[in-house]
Amino acid sequence: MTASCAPGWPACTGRQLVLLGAGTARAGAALLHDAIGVRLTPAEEGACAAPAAPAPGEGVLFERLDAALVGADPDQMRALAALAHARGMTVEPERVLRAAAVRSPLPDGAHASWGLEATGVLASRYSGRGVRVAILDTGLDLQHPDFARRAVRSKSFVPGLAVHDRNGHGTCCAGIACGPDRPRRGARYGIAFGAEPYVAKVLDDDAHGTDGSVIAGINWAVRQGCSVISISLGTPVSEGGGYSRVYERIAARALAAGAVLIAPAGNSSQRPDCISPVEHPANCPSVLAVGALNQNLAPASFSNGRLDTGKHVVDIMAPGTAMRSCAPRPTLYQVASGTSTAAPFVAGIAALLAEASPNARGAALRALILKCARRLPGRARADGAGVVRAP
Amino acid sequence: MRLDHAVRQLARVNVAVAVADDSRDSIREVARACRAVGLEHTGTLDDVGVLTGTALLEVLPELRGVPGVIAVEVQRPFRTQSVPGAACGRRD
Repeated sequence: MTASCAPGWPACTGRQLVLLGAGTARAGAALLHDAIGVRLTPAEEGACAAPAAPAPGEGVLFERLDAALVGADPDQMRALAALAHARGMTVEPERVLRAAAVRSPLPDGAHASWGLEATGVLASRYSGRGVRVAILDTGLDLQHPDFARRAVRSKSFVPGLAVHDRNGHGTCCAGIACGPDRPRRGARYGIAFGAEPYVAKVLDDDAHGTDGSVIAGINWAVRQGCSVISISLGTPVSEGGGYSRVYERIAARALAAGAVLIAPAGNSSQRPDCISPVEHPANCPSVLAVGALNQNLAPASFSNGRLDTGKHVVDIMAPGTAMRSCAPRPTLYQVASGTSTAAPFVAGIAALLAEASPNARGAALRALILKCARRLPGRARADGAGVVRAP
Repeated sequence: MRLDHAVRQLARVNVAVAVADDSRDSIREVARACRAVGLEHTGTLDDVGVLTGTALLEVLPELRGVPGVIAVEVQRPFRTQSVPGAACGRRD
């Protein structure tokens, strides 16, 4: 049960996705067969296409993922729910994911980088020089022409996968935070072009990951001496549920070590009617939670964060719609929206502030980011400190 | 018997274990104590004071009681935070 308030999205197929215990795929298949009469067929090794839809009583076993896609009639569904409850398995309706399609035409010229102008980046004399900025995501196309000559440190925390980004999300986020002042083509989109990018692949090429790889990535970034850590990922939280004590401790330790964690608030809102709470891990008090603005400097319709009890409100807002950035070759450039783009935007400006104030690190840098923000008239508390601003 | 074992293993979950500030210098001893109560320990993240691994759901209360442990959480799955359909692979 999550607090997402976007009816109709994600739409569900009627099938059930069953997450089995780590390394227990075969045992799980036997249990599902014996307990509820579902017969699982292994997914073909190396198959790229989705398996055929399973009928009730049938299913597909993803051995390497310790997961199964199950067709269940109402009786089997009840049995499956009881089994999951008893055995600690996670059962979720299978979601329909929409392809990343063009939603709006690419803005021309300077309009493509509207956020840089609106937040004072284009007028800033700082570039983040000497500041280490970590981007924890799906990796980066290290040979992209806009990054090929940069000294990028990188490490993959996804078993079996190199840092190279085949998804595009990580390359987009790295580009917004640390892209060049003069890209190979088109208008500037990157903020901290003088910063030292540290890229950790913590999500696979389908943009999936878990706490384990993300925490390992944060640990690496702290060890590398990064002052800014951008993590453009999240997961919904239960309505009224608290924040993660583990992440809060991690974020507090990162601050003590001189690193600010910056995370997106989430995209499940449908403003103005429904505003979802800030997602995990951005909802931890020591993590800087970032909401997304549209080109009118109003909260984007999808941006989470409401005035509520607990930490369900964002700390700061940043541009997050129609954001131009780089994309893995051969595409090279893309336009994207989401609080995923707003978080690395704040990370980039944080690097500029860190260069401008060499003694401000950790909690002091976090306070400086908030202090320099510009409050929006009439929306004071719900927008946290307001719109992020470059020095 | 084999099925019983399989059922137990189904309840094995990935966990993150936060170690208390005053125990971070002895994180390896904390890890050893966690293994003794059933943690299959896979990683020690010194810089943030966290142990990672897998454990049966039934041992999580014991794990939380290990001296030096302040929080134990089952790991969550993550997704990126882009608006579906908003990213475009357009060349320019």
